[in-house]
Amino acid sequence: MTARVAIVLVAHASALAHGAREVAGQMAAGVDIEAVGGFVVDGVETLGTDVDGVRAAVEGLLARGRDVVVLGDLGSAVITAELVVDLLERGDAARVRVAHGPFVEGAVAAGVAAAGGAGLEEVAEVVRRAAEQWDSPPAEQAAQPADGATRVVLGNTTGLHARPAAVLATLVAGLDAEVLVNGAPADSIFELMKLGIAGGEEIELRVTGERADEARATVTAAIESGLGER
Amino acid sequence: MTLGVAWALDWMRGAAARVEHHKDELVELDRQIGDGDHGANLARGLATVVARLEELSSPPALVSDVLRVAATTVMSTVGGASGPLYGTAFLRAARVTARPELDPQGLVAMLEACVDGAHQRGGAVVGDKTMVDALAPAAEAAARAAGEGADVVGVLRAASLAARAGAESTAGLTAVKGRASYLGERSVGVADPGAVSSALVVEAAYEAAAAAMRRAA
Repeated sequence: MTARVAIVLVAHASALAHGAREVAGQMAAGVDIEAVGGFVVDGVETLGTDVDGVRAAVEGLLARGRDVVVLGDLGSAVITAELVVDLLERGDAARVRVAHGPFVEGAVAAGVAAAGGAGLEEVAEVVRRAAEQWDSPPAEQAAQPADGATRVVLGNTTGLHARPAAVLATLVAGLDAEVLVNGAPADSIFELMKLGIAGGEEIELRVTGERADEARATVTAAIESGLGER
Repeated sequence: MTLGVAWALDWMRGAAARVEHHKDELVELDRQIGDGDHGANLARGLATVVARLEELSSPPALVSDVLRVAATTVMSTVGGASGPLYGTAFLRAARVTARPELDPQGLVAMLEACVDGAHQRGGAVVGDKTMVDALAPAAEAAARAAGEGADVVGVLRAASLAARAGAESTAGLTAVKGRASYLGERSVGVADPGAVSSALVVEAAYEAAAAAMRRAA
């Protein structure tokens, strides 16, 4: 399945754009991510941003029916992206958001959100919030009484690192329920990774919402099975 | 006297020549408080503008035709923030100059559109140590001169002097926009390369007007 929101990563160096694409792509199966980095002068790549390159990437994705979230690595990349949006037809411009946020964390968060079926505004919002993820204090709910919590053992050996965290966050993002893992929102890959849960560790799971029972069963099964790893 | 397409073409040639001549100075300023490529990038972009204007199959009929080529060319050929910023300024200027000739009020409108474009694209206001610090005083001085009855050359002379003074004032400012903002207080003492290049471009507009006046005399 292909996500309806695609991502364009604009950086001052090709290696930076493509590296971020690789990292984000690891956790965003089915999401179109385009990397546009550097600026070619007389056939030689220099550090800079490329209006025509960004425009081609955005227009190509729009033509394929995607909505597009654009991230920039520095101010001039954001300025470049905003210029490209201004150059689009009005109807097309409405399907593009330039999201201000940290480049790599934002790209990963956007990829995970898009893979989970999030819409344009939602994906742009997770980019904006990506920096806060590092600042927020350790989830306080973890210290609260465990009433109504389910205990599940993480069924892999390497723990809740980036890849399984992405699998879980993507799964939860697609569910019609609120899921907390050790008190942290399970639709956030960053919150999950910060928990530092080891393989085989017992996890406290809280699920609320209209379809909580169904969601709890789905998430429990996924965690116990190791989130795609053994 | 009014200024038409021939002046606009002359302006672009003069701007390219001036920026090329001051390229090393701009690079040095940008090396101190930016990424060190401003002079070279803008010189290359403006040279490409001149080349594209010479390649046009039919001569431009309106001032805006010249400015639109300048806008799209610098957007495509100047990487980093300068391309979009100069490009947007020229594009806004093109919107208000769809006429074969500009009078003093037409020049004021053009300069004000440049300020609006640079402000809208980069979000900078006067005092932020950017090209707006050269362009905004230039537009204000032009409006004042036009209000006092100056001719086209007088309007652009006023704009040119104000742009230069504005660019020089940026040496005393702390950068709050762009790469230089990461330096904070350490950016004080060095003029903003974007403001200095903007002054060069406005000066070229005045020089081209003065030359047109001499030819007409």
